[in-house]
Amino acid sequence: MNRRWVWLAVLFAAALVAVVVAAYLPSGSGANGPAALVGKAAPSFPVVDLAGKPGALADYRGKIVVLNLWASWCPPCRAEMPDLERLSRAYLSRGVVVLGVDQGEGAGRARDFATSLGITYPVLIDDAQQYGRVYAALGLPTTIVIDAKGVVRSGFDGALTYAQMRAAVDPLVAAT
Amino acid sequence: MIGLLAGCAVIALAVLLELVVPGQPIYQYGWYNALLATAFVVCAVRARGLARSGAAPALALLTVAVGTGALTIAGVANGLFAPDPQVVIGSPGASVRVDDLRGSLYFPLTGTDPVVRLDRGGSVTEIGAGGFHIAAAFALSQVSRQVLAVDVTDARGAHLTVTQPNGSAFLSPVLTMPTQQNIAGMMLPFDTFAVPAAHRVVKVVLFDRRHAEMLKTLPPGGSGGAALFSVSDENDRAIPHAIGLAPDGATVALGGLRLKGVAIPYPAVRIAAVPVPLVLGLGVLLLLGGAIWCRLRKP
Repeated sequence: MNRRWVWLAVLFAAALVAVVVAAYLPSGSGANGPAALVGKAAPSFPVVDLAGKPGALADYRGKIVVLNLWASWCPPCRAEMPDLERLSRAYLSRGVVVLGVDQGEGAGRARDFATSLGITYPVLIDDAQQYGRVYAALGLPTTIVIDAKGVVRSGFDGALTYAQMRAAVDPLVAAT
Repeated sequence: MIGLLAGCAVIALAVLLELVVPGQPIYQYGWYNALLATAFVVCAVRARGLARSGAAPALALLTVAVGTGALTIAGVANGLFAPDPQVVIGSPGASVRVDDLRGSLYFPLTGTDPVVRLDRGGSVTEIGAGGFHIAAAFALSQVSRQVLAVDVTDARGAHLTVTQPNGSAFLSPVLTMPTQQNIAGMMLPFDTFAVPAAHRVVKVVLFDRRHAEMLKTLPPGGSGGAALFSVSDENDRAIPHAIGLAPDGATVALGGLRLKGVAIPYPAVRIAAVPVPLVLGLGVLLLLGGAIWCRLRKP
């Protein structure tokens, strides 16, 4: 038999070994938490607002939405909310909506908390914590920025500063 | 010649079995993989002997040997290099990144079609009940488990946030019960969650209908199963009279909380490595092609 064929067979076997070993190697890459949803359509669930009226993220399609998941027992949420209120007032005329979603609490508790902080942006009550689960919250607060087409553009675990909020929103505002 | 082809066929069947019945412990045994490799070496030596004697075209015999070698490599690599089988448990609506699959599993919401979706860079595979799906070098199948949806209110009936700092989803009120607790000789599903607003931590043991019937202290009500709740403070210090049993769907007041648990069947995904399908297919093609060539063309 031609020796070349034998060597080709050996090379082929070596290539196969490389292929099978590579197939079992874990990738180890990929983001966790809310950032993992970047580029995907933003899920929406029907819940209620502070007044008990039906509401959902989908109601704000066509606007840039800063979706903020919070709860009244969460100190970093309290610390972040005045900056979210500032962002809401500054960017409302530019097509940006800040949307708070209380996780797992009743409307009364959420309303008292929002009122005490002078919050004017819309707040939804998600007592089944559907938004928190689907947006892969690793803790509270969690903030997701969604573009006007309803696609997640960025996700953040933990409290944001005003500068970080602007940095996330400004490119989307500039693109519209 | 017949002996060689029969030996190669046995190797092929053994490796194909790893695809048809994935995740069996025997595939990882050293002696099993040594046996596969030895069988291949015997076949290769026999093929060389046949080639020298002129019983069949040398290139045809080499093709048979290479095909069998590819199958052996696929089988032995599956046994020695592939990760152990695992069951991925996710909360309803949550996504779980699985590095082995280089993708994420998306678990359905409760009350919807119980189909788990695997997204690998935009390529979506639906994993329904029954059968299994091949993704890369892994077989995925659905297994049904009992999870517990908990509802927590304060004494006035106001909802409280449930968090799972150690769970598969932080903000999920559905406990996936991933571990087992030994109670009186019974291995029972166990999980834990926190109620930060009330500064409480709750441990939960789930009893199915069969185990619940053994409990003489079970209050009436529910649909068969029961949940044992143990409430402690946020530093895990015990609170007096804060352990109680609640029938499935019934509310129990413990440690300043009103707790309700509803057990629901929910899918998890079993992931077991299989021989790399590409190498397997190539091996089978070469083996079959070489065997036919041997039979058709005598030297």
